[in-house]
Amino acid sequence: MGQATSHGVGHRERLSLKAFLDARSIPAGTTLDTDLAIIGGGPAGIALALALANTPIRIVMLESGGEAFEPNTQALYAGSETGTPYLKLENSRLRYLGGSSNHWGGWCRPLDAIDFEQRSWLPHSGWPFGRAELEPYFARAQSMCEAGPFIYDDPERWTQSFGASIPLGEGGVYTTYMQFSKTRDSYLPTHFGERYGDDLKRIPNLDVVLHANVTGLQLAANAGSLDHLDVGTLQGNRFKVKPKYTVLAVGGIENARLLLASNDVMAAGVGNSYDLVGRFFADHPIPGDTATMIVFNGAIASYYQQPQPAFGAYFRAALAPHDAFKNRHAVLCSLATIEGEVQLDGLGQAAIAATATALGIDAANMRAFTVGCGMELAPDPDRRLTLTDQRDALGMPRLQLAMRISDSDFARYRDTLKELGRQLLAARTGMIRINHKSRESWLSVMDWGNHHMGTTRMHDDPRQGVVDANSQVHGIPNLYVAGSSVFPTYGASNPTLNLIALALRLSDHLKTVFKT
Amino acid sequence: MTQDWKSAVSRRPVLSGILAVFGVAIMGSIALEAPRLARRRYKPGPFDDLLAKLPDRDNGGRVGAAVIAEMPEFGATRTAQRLRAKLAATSLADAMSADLAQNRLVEVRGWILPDTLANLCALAAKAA
Repeated sequence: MGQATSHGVGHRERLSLKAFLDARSIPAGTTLDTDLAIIGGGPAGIALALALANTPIRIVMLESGGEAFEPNTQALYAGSETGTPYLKLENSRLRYLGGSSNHWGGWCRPLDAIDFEQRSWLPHSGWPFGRAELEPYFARAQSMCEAGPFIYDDPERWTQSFGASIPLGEGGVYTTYMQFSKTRDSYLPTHFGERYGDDLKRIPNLDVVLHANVTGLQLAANAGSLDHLDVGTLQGNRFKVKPKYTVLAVGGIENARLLLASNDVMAAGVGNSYDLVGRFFADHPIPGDTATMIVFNGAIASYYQQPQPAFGAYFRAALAPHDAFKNRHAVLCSLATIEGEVQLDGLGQAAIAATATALGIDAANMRAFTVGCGMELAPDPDRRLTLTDQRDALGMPRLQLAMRISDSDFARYRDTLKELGRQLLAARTGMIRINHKSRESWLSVMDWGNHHMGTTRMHDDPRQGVVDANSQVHGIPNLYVAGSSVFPTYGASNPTLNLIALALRLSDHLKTVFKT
Repeated sequence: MTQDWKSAVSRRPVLSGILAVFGVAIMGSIALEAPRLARRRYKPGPFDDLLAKLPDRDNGGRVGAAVIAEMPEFGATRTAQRLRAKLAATSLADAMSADLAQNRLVEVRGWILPDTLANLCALAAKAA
């Protein structure tokens, strides 16, 4: 019972498993009526369905894939990329039940308070609400991620078993902690489809339809509401779903694609009156070997390099800028991780010897580590997804991503690393070498988090956001968007925990909507 | 008795003991004098008063060469004047701490160093 009961799926013993439906066996021309359609069976859609279990709301979840990877379904993701080298669109996510949780790394961390704030130095920043609005949902989201108790920045707990954190002088960088979705004694994090599949089958007010590709959001003729959904299968079957309300939860790329492609009533697409859908695309750059960090006495707690089990959780430390430092120096969030040991060149050895002796420190046991990082990008309206003339197997227009990363994004992260170096020296702990300066050098070590965000951004003003504070598409009262595509700014935290908290918040809103 | 004593204590161990004592004395002298003997001797230069404060002048010089390479405008005399004023009444370690507190940092091929140390290293490179 455990986890499932806590997410609203009770009475397991009394409820039998209800098989998933398969869109390929639904007669062509059928119209399915329902209260709520959830498009997408990834973490956001599944969290929403679990949260609405055992309510009077009749729900249909439409998942494009099956219960396992299918190449022809995955191929529907294919698109093109221009600009800054980026991942292939079809490779950076997964299209079957559980969505991209089927290949996530399990890293969890709530967004920082500043991530929600409007900052004068950061154009397009600011959520319609602060972090406090999500606080009531984090513990439940954490439970769904199976990441243990929600205890993050509680260094007393973490350090009492594994040794002290790295001493840093007073300043802008501190040790923060991430938790991991791996508390089931499994090496792998929670795959939402596999983990919650049976729970979904037990929800009496939910039908999950697999192999159901939504190909169009059909608005009413006056464009004032969503009328129905066009659904198709790769085998050519076509039918409709007519929900009272719909939540679009197919990820940061497909959410935008479906809104843009549904353009027969509104030429620019649904929710795109102000040309915002698909803009502000973001991911977390993960450049490797960003710096070399020296620890003079060679002592470093194990939780900096590998996740460690403690207090029913797995945790790992990272080095991040304080919110006050971010504001004072106009830097964005970053999470620097300490990775493997590295050898130093002659200049490095000389720099350490000269510095340590000048400070009167014995560096005979010195160790050098490479530093990895997850960075935040500044919002950029020209980093965007647009439709192309090419079509996929369902006749849907394929996407093109114009990827961009600005030099200031790198410069901001460098400022944080420099501050870390200053604090290491001030505490007589160690020192740092920043390994990249030029844009070319940064790009040569670039990887990405596969965290698609921002393309249906949230803002109270329809001229600045696609959805409002309740995740409702501006101007379409019965259409909502769930997932990290609504993030107006992104932080450096991995999005899954946060987007699940947002989905749970949305579930409370929908309960109210259906009541009234 | 005398014969017995002679037979009990042979000449070889006595000589070995004497040699051992001398050996220890010689090795001790070498050990005591080694740092002075091994210490790198630098030709006298205009910045010796400052460079005396740099404990590892050789490695400092290596770092300093990189500092100069990145600072084409580096002026040794001007820098020396500035460092003399700064280090007149404070130790190098304390001056470095003050640099760190004031965020006076120099980046040398990526290495983040306190300003005073970096400039002192540059003088060491100039003097080499």
